[in-house]
Amino acid sequence: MLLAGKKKSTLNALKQQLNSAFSMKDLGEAEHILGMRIKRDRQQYTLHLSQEKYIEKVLDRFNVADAKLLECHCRPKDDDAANYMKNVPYASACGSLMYAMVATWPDIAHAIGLVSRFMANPGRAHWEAIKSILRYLKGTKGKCLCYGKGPLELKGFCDSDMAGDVDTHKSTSGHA
Amino acid sequence: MVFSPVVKMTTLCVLFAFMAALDLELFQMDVKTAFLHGDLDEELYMKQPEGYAIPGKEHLVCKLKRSLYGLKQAPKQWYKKFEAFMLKHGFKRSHGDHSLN
Repeated sequence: MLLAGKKKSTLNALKQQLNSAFSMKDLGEAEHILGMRIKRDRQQYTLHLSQEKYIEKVLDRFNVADAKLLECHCRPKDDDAANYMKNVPYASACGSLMYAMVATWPDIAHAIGLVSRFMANPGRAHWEAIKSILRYLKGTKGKCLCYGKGPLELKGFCDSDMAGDVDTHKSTSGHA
Repeated sequence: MVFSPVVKMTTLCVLFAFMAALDLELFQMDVKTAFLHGDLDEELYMKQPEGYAIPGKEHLVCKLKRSLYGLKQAPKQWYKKFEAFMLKHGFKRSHGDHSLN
């Protein structure tokens, strides 16, 4: 659990109370939470979130070292391709990427949105797309999400591409 | 239905934003064997654990007094216990995310 507050003394008091009710392990200043590493610079008022370790784990798990890009097909056409896809952890990879997206990589949101649509019947090309996202993460895994000092106000953004899908003429929208 | 709240990513993001902007302290703690703290609302029995069965009474079962890991309701019972503690100490549960106090 994370404890946050203005004064160390109040937090220490809460720690005491918690300790007397349950047996607790004090992990000191928060460093890791849900696969994210927290780095702070109190002078600069910044807080960095990094998922480098998580990405390394994911890359390791889906082993993309031998990845090559293939030509794009929309659906698996023959039995061969269908058999190939049977052995591919498509949904797992999607899920792993989705966590990275939600936590510290909002920039892959559009790509994840695309590959997730083919979860029910993925083809080779979709798997290749996933691999290229994984390779993108491999290249950028050292990057952090940085929270800084600024006015604390809630801002919303949204956009839509107005029938941007060439196959279905559906629109893709997003908000942050 | 057995439901136990889990923290939302948006809650964490907002928390981190506040941390950075207001220069708040942030500590982390872990409850040892958290799920064993939960109390049970129902009568539950289990087979005697292998190797620990009382000789001559192997046909008997154990009645659970507390929650155990692996029980369906373990996370929920632990949440209940922890929530009661937080409320007792003057915290309020957030409407947006029940795992934020």
